[in-house]
Amino acid sequence: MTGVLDDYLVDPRISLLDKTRIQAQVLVPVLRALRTELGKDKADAIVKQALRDWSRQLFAAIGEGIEGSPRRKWATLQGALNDVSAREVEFEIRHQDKEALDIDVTRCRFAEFFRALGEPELGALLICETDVDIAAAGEGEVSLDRAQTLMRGAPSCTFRYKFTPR
Amino acid sequence: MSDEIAIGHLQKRKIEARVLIPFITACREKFGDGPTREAVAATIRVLAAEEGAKWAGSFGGDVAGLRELAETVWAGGGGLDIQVLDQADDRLAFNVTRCRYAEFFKELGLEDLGSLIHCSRDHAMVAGFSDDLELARSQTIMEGASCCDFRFRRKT
Repeated sequence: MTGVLDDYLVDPRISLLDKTRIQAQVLVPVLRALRTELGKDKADAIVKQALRDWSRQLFAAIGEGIEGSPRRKWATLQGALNDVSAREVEFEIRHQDKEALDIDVTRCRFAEFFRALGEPELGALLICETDVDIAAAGEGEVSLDRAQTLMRGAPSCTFRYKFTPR
Repeated sequence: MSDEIAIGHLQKRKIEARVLIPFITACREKFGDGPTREAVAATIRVLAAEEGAKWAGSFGGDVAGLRELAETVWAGGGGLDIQVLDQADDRLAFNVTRCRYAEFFKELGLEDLGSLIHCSRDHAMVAGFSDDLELARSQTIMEGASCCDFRFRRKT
């Protein structure tokens, strides 16, 4: 079956957590070698820029391929991401109506993995920023404000979506 | 972590490449090809040697183990078409006549990166796999040849 996230997942039969672990296993040693060469700040800045640009372009391209309004694009992308990530997180819906969706994620295996590895910023780039790039597909109709994340050490991730009235 | 063979070697390399490619591309823009190539190749060598040692533990660090590794892990899931030409206790010769790893990088127009992050692993992998074996390979599909000529032999 062809899914909207195939370019991101590579193989939809592989869980997102396994896919992320495979990427971290190769990226972390390369990043650490680069830190030794260049210093941590410079190396981290390069990886950040590289992964942010890649993720933004990837999800923008996927979003362009989805028919419909920005809201529709966001819902399709976010729904597909939820399908592959829901099993790794525990969450509570705090509020939901036509104009807003407030979700608190209280447990996240991606955050646990990257924090145990001592690389939460890499985890934020590979996982957390995906939500931001997907929200960007809904630009003008969907906005995401997330003041804190488990990945960066907070007790929960506070997803606050706002939708413009239709 | 899921079992590696269940995930498939080809899929694993594709998944790695998805994040390595933008990272290496950004490094090249900042520092040029040479220094990037050196830093990446050095790290890949370490990873490949570790992987070789792990595979030796699973398959046995001899020629028979190497053949099983090539046929089940590397070629698994249709990753490679392999034609074995010669096998003895001290040598293993095979040609790869189709390589879906190379096809993946060629589709992206990134054969040079494929050589760097995929093909270059093999020599370091053998070093981790066995102290006695070495690999000589004069050409690869990734570089445009019609086949890759893998020639493993006991060090003299």
